[in-house]
Amino acid sequence: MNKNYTKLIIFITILILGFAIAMLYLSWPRLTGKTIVLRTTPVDPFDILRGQYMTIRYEISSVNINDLSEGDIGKSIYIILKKDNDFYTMSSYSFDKPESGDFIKGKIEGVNGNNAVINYGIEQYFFERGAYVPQFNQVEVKVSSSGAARINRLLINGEEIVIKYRDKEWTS
Amino acid sequence: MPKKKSVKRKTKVISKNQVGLEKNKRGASFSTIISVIGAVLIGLGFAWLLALNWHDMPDILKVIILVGITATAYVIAIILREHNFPGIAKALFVLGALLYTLSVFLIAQIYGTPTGLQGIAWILLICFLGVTFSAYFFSSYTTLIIALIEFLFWISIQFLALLDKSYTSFGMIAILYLIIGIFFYSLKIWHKTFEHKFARLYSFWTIFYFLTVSYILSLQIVVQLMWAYSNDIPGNSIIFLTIFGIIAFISLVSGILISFNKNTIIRKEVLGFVIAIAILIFLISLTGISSNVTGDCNNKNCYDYKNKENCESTPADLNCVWGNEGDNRIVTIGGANEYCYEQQCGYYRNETNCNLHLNDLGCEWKAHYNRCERPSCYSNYKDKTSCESAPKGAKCSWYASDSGGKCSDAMDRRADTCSQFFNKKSECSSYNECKWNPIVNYSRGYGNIPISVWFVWILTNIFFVIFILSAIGYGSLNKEKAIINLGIGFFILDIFSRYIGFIMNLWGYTSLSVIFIIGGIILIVLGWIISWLTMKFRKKLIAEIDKK
Repeated sequence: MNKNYTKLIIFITILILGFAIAMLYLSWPRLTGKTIVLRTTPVDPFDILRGQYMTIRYEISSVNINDLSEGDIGKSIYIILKKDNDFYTMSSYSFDKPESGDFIKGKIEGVNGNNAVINYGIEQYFFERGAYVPQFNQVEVKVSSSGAARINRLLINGEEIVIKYRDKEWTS
Repeated sequence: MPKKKSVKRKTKVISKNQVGLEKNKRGASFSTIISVIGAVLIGLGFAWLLALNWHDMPDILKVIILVGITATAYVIAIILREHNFPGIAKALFVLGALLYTLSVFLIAQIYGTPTGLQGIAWILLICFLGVTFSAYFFSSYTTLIIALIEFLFWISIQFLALLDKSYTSFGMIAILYLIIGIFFYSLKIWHKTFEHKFARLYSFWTIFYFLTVSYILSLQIVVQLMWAYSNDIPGNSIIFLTIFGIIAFISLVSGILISFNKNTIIRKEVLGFVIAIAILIFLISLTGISSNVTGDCNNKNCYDYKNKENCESTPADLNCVWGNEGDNRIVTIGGANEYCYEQQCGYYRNETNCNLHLNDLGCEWKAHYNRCERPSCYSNYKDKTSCESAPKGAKCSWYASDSGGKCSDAMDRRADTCSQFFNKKSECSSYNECKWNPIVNYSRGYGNIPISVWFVWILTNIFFVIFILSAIGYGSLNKEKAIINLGIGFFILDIFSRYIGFIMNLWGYTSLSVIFIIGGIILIVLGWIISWLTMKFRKKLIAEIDKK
């Protein structure tokens, strides 16, 4: 076979494999993770000045930790969760991965006295420009055994919200 | 019958590539062009339909579409290359690289990856590595240019991500870009040593890069701001800078040694490069005397008081409170993130609450606008009597002046006091209620630029012109038209920039005209000297050959 075509086949194979591995890695919590529902703090869903995504804050985004210092910024932290009616709230925290139980992994992004601002990687939700995103107060996430989380659905009082997109018309 | 003259036809054997070029030169037929336009329209239509229904598609289908269109671009590029359409193939390689980059970003969006600077840096790294791989794999020049651009984006974003939102001297960023330049030159040496076809591109790219860096350094605002902010940068970014510096240095030194061994590079070129780097380091360091000596003096607001004690001891007329604005607004973020902020009338959304703050904040309910606000002292009270009878909470005072006087509040008074220290850092810093801002507000005028700024700026411009001339000289010696044109292009850019700069800041170009005349005379004299020296050298060479 021609050298260029051989190179092309190798390249396409690497491309497909690369994207497949990336997809698998990013989807892993959704495929294998446990479903937990977290409460969000009130967020203005119409604030889309930052682009086509919205920032979500959770009750567990700010956590009180003893003996916190600026040097803890960037550290990984595991928030151990407990079920409280239909939601999961913080029970305790650990800087080492827990052996068992429900937990979510985050990273300390900021420190204010004894309060740590934690980022879990689920603080952004992308949606189409011009879409109408109604208010929500809960987020259903999937958390893998390593503590990595992915957003599954946005909820209002336990019910999934319906994002309205622009109507497709022949004249639109 | 007359004899037919035999006509000797000149025959010429041409290569497959030239056949392709010939085909390209002839151009496509009308029917082909119409068909291509039709195909593009169909493609666009399908693309837009996809976009409209994007949110309805399952994630896996989205990924398949993205990978599919990227792969299609590369497949068509290879087919076109095989059928001797190198020009169009180049364009398709570029398209493939751009589609790959787009696909990575879209997949990141589909799976909601983090949106901070570090998240973007990871995505850019994946893009840059993939495009670089495809550039070398398919030996595509144009793809390599995209890879180099993506490399610059990645390293810049990664460094900013490691800075972790802290202010830093632009000088550190300048050092990063200097190290990047050294790395590019080392790549050029390595490619030339192994006679890789990308050597010429790296040569062009390195010269373009250094000319761009020198151009940016020649801007007066850069000279003023280089070391204006704090020099504290987080440890992670210093480690990154150090590691990258070591890699660039090792690559350069090892590349030079091997190329000297193989005689693929001349010593003068390396010496010239080392001198250029030394000059740039010197210039970046020299901007230390011109940085942070010009700027604006502004009055402090509540946000400038960074702890509770300082906040609570601010003058009462600033209305500063330590806490969380969420106390007064809809969004709450718990007990964290307290700071010093100004209590504003706008927080009170009804007339009753608004009127409660008449005496402490001077709030008035504006029924027409359905909002609570504090009237401006200057706009609402035009004479001394009405000013002195303004509500106590508004804190208005009458200030007499040569033009009659004005009614102003505490903020206005402080702004007037502080603004007189424009470009006077030490005087500004001596006032507790003022803060120094190194960003110059040119709408306030341009006067009082210290001599140190002018000195450094003139020096950076002289060296920029020297770099341009060196690039043109290098291009002439190596018979590289592209590099000569690059040098000339930057020379034209320099003229335009200086012209615009003089018009914007000095409102005239008398001095610029004089500078250009003197500069032109120097260049003509320099040109004459160079041609005299060249002639002398040639004569000497001929004489030596004759002797032999």
